[in-house]
Amino acid sequence: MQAALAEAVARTTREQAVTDARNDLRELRRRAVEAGRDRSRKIIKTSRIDTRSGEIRYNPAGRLLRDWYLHVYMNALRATLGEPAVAVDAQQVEDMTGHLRRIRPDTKGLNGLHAVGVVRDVAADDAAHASAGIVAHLGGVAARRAVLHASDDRFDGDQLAIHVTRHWYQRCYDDHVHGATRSRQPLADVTEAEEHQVALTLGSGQPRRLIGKDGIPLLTAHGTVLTNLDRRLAAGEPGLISSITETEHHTDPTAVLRNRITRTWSELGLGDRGRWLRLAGAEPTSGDLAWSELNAAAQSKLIRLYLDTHRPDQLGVSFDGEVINNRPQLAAMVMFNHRRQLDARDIESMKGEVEADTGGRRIVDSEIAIRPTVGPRLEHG
Amino acid sequence: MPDTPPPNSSEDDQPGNEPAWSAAEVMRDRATETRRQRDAAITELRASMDDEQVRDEFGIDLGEIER
Repeated sequence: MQAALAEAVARTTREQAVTDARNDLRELRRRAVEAGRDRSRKIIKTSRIDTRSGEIRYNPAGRLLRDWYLHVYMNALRATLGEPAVAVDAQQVEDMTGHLRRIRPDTKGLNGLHAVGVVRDVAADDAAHASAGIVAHLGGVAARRAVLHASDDRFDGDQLAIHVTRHWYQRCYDDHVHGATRSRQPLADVTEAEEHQVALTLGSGQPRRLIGKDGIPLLTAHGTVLTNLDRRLAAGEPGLISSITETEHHTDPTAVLRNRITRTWSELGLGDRGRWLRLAGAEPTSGDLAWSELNAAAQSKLIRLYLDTHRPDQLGVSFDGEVINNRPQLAAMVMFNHRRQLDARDIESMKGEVEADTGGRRIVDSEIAIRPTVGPRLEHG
Repeated sequence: MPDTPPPNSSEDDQPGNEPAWSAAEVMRDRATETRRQRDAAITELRASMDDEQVRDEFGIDLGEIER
């Protein structure tokens, strides 16, 4: 595949996956809101039977608490699915309790506050379960959409291009869903550098592993190798970085830099100081001076070289992963560390597993409509 | 100096690696925590009112919530 075409396929696949994921999330949220309305009617009643007269009477407290449930539920759902939302705080609980007391002035003690709290926690719990169901469900949707995005006859039947495109689509779709729901693994975001690597694979026909066995990309956003230190930090491993001293913590960044440079200068021997001065373009004979005795121009040059040589991104090693030698279906799967191949014949079996995975009482119980990708289709040229 | 990059080996060509991280599990863990909070709140309310009083006074059907 030509390089320009490969870049276009990688880019449009990513854009399409993100668009589809965003639309699917929005559609499932809409359905979850409807399900929440139904549930609010089941769990909070707005009428009650008067035990003395046997008449059915309107219960304004139920109406108020049902509205409260929906307010909390919808905002919790929006927040967990990456939409702007109002944070339900203690003040709102206080205000709602005040409204409830005005409607039912005979309510004893803290009962009103507890009732408001129960409804808030029920709504938040329902929203959390709906969101969990949505994320589990969309995991299967991504796989099926990926297969439809790159059908078996695309790219003139080039199996590597088809399967890499499918897995790339799935990776981008999942990334958007996990990012929106704040359930993404640290450092696992899709980057431009990764997109470029996908384009290189499509162009060269040589698949390379891009995602490590720990689920974290092997390259940084700058196209360099992600170090083991970064990977271990992303996994939450403690004790990898020495703690900042109390002195450094309470001083400004300039002071920290000054301390580090002057300490480095004082610890170096004459030979190393001379080399530092030469590399910085300063007078090399001033190596026997204390830092404070150097003139301002020499200090500036030394500091500039120190910063240039201590920037981690300049010390990074360009990513050049080893070529995966395997058949296209497996190679594409290994590239993205996915757990299964994406074959058209597996679509139906994926569907069954996803539905089993969501289990229990499902607020979102309807299948999202899967349709072939609509948009520019770039054929192998 | 940067830390050494992860080694590449022929093992990297092999499928079947299960990532330690699962977004679905993260979401399920959150849901488990909210369920714990919900159940604690219901227990607290029941300490001062029975289910019938809760339903009569506030319209809340605790039995339906837990079903």
